[in-house]
Amino acid sequence: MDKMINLLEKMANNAHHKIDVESLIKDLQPSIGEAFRENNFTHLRQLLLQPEEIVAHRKTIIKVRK
Amino acid sequence: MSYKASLVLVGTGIKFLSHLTTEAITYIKQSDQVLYLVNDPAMKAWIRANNANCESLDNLYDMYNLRIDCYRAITARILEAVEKLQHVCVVFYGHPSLFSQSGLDAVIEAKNKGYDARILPAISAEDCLLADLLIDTGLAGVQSFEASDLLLHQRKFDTNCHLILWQVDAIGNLGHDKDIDNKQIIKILSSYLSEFYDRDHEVFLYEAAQYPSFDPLIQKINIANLHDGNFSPITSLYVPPMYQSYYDKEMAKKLGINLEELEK
Repeated sequence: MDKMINLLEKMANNAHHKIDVESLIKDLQPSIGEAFRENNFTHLRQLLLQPEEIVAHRKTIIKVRK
Repeated sequence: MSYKASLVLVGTGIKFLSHLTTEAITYIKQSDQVLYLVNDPAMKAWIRANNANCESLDNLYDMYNLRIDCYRAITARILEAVEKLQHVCVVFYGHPSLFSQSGLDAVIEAKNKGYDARILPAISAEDCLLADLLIDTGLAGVQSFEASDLLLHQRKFDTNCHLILWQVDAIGNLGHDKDIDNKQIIKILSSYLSEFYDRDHEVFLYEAAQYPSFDPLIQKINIANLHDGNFSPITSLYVPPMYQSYYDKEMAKKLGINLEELEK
């Protein structure tokens, strides 16, 4: 998770994609890289869920929205 | 003025970290205790990394079948933390007073009890929608409703203004029930909107980007085919104005407005 947060922080500080996104994600596990390439943020969120949070997430997926 | 105890509600915005304001970051880092109810695992981890004394409210959200009971439990937990005479920050997803009755109730009650309690503004899904769909609400006005609320109360709206409906994927769902036949429910919404709009009026299903470097998801669809759209728990429905509104000539005259100048 720490590695992902670091990556997302880099993404948040990368205006105009001045750093090539592909270069940032190339060393990630393939499923995470795929989520970025396919613009599938729902999939990325699922991949970020810790195992103990997955059960809770399944229960609460409809709850927090704005 | 210095208070021994205080309550501040902050929002994470929608896009991880990018939407967190400097003000919100400061409160998260400097509060005696942080309580949080956010749906993003990365944001949860970020909060835990930035304040050692933090607590998730997720368990309270699972405790009861009806969401209203969960909200009350969350309000009680927030007030309990403030009454320990400490500075408390509560972090919600999006904007902290939008679809967040539990936080709002806690702030109102804390204020009534004499505590310093406030809500800080944050970026909501509505802000993202207006930016991504290139909408200036200053031109035709905007009406924004929770989808179930619109149907249940038969809210009056102007079809020549922008209309935004929230939680279209959870219409009629007061609890945590995931077995509701969503397609049938969406057909009810589609049928209701068809009473006011042309059936081929184009609308947009919208999901704001949740992480930096991602794009929003936007589907264009006719009102009549709404049930064929891909809905997720964070999908909102945007209905553009049908026609341009007419000017009321009498009112323009009273206001001293020259309509010819307005129509240029």
